[in-house]
Amino acid sequence: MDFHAISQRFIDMMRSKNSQNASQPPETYPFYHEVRQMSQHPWMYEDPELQDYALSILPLDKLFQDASELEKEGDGSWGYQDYVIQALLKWFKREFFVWVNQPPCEKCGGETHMTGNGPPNEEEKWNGVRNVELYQCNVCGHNQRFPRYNRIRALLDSRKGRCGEWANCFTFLCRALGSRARWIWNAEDHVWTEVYSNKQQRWVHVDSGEESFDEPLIYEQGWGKKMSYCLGFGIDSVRDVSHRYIRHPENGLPRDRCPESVLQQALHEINIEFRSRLTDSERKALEEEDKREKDELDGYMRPVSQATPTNTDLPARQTGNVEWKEKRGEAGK
Amino acid sequence: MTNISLTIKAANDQKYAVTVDSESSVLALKEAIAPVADIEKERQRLIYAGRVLKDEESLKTYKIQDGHSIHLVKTLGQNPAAAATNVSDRTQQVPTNIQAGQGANNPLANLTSARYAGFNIPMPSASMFGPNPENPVPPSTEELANMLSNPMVQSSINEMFSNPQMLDMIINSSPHLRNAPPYVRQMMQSPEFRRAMTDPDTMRQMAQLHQQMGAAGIDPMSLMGGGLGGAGLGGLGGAGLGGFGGANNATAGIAGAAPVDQTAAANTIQNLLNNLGGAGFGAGLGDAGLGAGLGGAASPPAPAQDTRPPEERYAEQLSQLNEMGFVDFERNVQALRRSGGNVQGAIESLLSDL
Repeated sequence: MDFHAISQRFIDMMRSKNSQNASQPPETYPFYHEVRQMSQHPWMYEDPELQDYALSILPLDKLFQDASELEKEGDGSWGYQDYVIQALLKWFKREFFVWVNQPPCEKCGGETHMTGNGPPNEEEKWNGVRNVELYQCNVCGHNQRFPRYNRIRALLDSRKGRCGEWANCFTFLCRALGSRARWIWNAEDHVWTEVYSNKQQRWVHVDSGEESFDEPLIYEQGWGKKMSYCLGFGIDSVRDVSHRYIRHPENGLPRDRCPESVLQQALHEINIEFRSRLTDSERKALEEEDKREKDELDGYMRPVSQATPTNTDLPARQTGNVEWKEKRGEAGK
Repeated sequence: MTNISLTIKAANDQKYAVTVDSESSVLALKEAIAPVADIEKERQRLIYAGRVLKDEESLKTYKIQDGHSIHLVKTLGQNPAAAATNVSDRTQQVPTNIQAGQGANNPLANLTSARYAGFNIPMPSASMFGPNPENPVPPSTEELANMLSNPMVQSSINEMFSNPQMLDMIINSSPHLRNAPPYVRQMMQSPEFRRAMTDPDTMRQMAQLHQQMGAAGIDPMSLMGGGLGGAGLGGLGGAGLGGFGGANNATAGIAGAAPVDQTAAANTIQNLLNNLGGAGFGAGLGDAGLGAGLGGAASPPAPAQDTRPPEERYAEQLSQLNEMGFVDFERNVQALRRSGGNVQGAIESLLSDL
């Protein structure tokens, strides 16, 4: 058998079938690939062994008791699971995870300053580290490394970092407690969480670093942060949620990474792929949910006079030191 | 032996009443919960007094009494005990599949770095390789079809074929694909191709091809080794590494092929082509692990007919072709019509006619 002749025959057949799309295909835009790659992110939360490990380290008794107390004090607008998430948020921020500006010296506990970046070692690569920050102690001169972990298991052990580590770990813990959760990516270098409330039938903003629950305007009006894209990634729901967080046009940055139709196509394709394993009734329920969310997001784009009035009580960013926040435009208006 | 009624509080704010024997095991309780909450027992995690209940323990051990509440959390995957192997242990072996000495442009080098850190692609379970993991048996068609139905696998295949670097690696690993015209890459990037590749029906078509080639006196495995798409597609499901291992099998298979009656084989191939839309040629390209997908690639739907005369419809393309030296109007129009108005495709067509 002559494989070359066979493959030539195949090439001839495919050539006769090939017809080109006149417009530029979406694959030519790097942002299309970035979105597809980020859509893989929430799947690492679904490891059942990891979820079992999380359940073994969470103070479940305390969380459920706190949730019950919050439910008694509440006005009935939230469900029990929503209060579980609020209890988790409080515990996570105050007792579990630590914010790191510069890591304290591992030898003498003194202050350190950054000396540069380095490559991850093999173990760190395995734990999803892309970049290692290098620090030197101001007191004893000791050099140490601060790897930026992306793997959940490593984060559950290290329990420290900045918003990337915080949002990753907190979103995973919401999943471990059974809530539907999305990892929210913002193009201007911030990430946070959304959790679905069955009681209110909508996705609710949660920022673990700020201990903020259902305050989507905290970035635009509290921090004074200008943003372009906010995309939510979950295992059954991938959505452009920018309108929830960017309410006023003057607070938006240009959305020029690709045509809007390419972004919509990417999100649509991903949702179809992610939902292909579900039953028809589950898919229909998600489509109904999509409609509700679309109505909600479109409602935020009404004329300014009818939009939510400016809330002057929202705080500036809590986490991070002053120079860092000012450089990033997040120190308030 | 008395029955107790328990309240099950699920994470979606639902509450269920379940009645079980007070000396039942936790597993029996999960079995009682399964039809009420519509969650398989393997996906249930029950929490009482701050502890996760173990299946083999009895309710009495945890001092669960009548009227008590238990929290229910639902996970996506199977219980680890139900799996034959530990997924974490198996994924540790991914780096050993990387061949030493590959260049800096090798996209496989990124598979163990951060770029793919979030992919968390499920590795094939031990059951897929049969009782002897040292000598893996190609997975059955249905197993592959089930794996391809997994949205994680589909999504990773889509991402892989959208990545030009990865396509370069796959194309260069196969002598046939390396010599193919550039439009093969464009075809691979099209959603129709990826959809066909992950379509379980394509796997069944390949199975039919398998049987027909056997009937024609050709041993498909000796000819194609793992390249038929078995090991290759399984490898794609496992971050695409197995697809390169398949190349070795295919080479050995081809080298060891017994002499075959050319006429009978050609007739069989021709027949398969007519019936399976080109699936038969997946064999020739299987050594890159792409056989099933290539063979099953469907033609995109014909675009809406444009009724304007060709010199008006293709004015811009015709001027470009003229500038490049293709001055025959009729042949240019035919080439543009065949390529759907794409100048690159038209040039390929004109060159192939020389």
